Amino acid sequence: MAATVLGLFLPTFLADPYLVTVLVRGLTLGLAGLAVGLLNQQLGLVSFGIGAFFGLSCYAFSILTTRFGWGPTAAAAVALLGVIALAALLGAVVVRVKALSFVMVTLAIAQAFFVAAGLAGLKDLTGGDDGLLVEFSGELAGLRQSDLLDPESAWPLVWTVVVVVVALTAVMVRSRFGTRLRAIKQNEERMRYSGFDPYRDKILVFVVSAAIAAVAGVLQALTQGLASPDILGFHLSGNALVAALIGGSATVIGPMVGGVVFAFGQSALSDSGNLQFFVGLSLVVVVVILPGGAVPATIRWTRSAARRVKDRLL
Amino acid sequence: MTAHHAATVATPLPEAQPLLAVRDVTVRYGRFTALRDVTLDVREGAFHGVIGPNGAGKSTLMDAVTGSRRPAAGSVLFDGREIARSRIAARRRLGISRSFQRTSIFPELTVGEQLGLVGDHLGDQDVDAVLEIMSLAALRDRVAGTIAYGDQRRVDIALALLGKPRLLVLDEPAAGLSVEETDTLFEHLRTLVRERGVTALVVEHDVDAVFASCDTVTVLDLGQVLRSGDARTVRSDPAVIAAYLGSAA
Repeated sequence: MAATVLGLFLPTFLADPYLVTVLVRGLTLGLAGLAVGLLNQQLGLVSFGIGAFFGLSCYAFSILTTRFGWGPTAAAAVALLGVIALAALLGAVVVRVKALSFVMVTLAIAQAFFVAAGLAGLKDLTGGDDGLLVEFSGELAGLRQSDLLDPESAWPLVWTVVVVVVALTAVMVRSRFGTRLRAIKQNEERMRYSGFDPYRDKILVFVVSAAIAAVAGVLQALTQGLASPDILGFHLSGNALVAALIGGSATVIGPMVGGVVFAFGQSALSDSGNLQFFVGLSLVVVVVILPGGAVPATIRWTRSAARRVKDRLL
Repeated sequence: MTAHHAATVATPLPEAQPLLAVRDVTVRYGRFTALRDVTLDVREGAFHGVIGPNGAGKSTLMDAVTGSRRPAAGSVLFDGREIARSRIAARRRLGISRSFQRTSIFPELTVGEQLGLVGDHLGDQDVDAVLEIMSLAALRDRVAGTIAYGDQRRVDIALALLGKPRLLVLDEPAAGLSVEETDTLFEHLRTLVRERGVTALVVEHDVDAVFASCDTVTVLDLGQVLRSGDARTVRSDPAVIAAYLGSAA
């Protein structure tokens, strides 16, 4: 709780707007990573297409505000609800397929939206390959667009959204529903023989995951002011997956940490021209040295160290 | 004897409806016929064993009864109701539960967590009683994947017992168990049938255990019923001895 409150004042400690900008980018990616991690941790499914939901909500918000003059609150609500409805429809089909097919189907969905966003025929709506610069009047949570594009002014909103989403996800994971999902992941056949309907639960998790990605997508539109095709395709989906792997999807905090680490790494290394090399290298390091991700490994080390200290003292 | 009494005795009593009636069931895997026109009655409260050599169709019969395999022909009646096309979860809610040849539990949940999860879903608040019956109370807080294999088999059966099922289908419950563990398990099963009124349909390779515990036995061979009846009669049937039991009889 104390960390949550202290987090609101993080920009004061950092004292550098650029660091806050990277942090906001990292947390936005972290939410997308959380969406990927939730599917993986709860159902054992790997999605290569989380960018579809991230990007669609970002585009929906941007189009509704910029092209149709909607206020940001209504646009955000419709973007989120639209993605949830679409995810329910897609989920009814894709959760039926097995693990490897799920990877390919989700990738195909994201790529389809990626191509659609760049179509010349839709350029008036989406901005085509150039993307769409977001413009709106009105306020969201008391903030105007100029405030939202300033990372320090936007920070309290970003932090609050992140904390609420992470907390709600943690509650879900630890609830009886979360236990049910882990049971489905471990033994779906036994669940059916115990009278459960795993199909319905899997759709629900798919929708929750999409909703988290959609929240991240709206944050992207609000704080970056741009919707571009690359957030719909493999680029964003892959980065979100890497964030989940670096931080570890066994905890809800892991993907957030992974997202922040990724964003700072990207910021530091992008000028080198070898960013993809370093992303690959860091993945290998994480998989070999920190199986399960950095956060679960840190928890294990901390517990182990605490036990050793306790043993010496007693 | 009065005329009235005599008339009552003369009227044939209707035969009790079996809890499970398998009628002319045929199951195919592609062009291979695993079960052909199998008919089987399991009366309520029975401890009914199904034996047969490998490939006889025993597990396929269990699959057809519990819902993971739909028959190509024939019907499966549970308490008079046709269920051959019902889904697995629907059959479970009707009261048909199952344990598996290869133990089927939730390895990363504790014994208590998994029984609580299933018990809650099926509206069974009697998880403690099931833990007690299956001698699992001491293992309640242990992660199921870390306990001994014999204990895991009892967890598997305990999961099947929740929700007070009317028909418990057990697919080779003694597979992988020692002689002592098999004896203990069948003792548990006898207690269940006797004290909780569960009807048990058991497929088992251990012929001695089946004849020692079951009151009715069906012998399958090459996907067809060779004999079915009370255990003693079936055991001494020359056709059964010739086809399956051999010196074990």
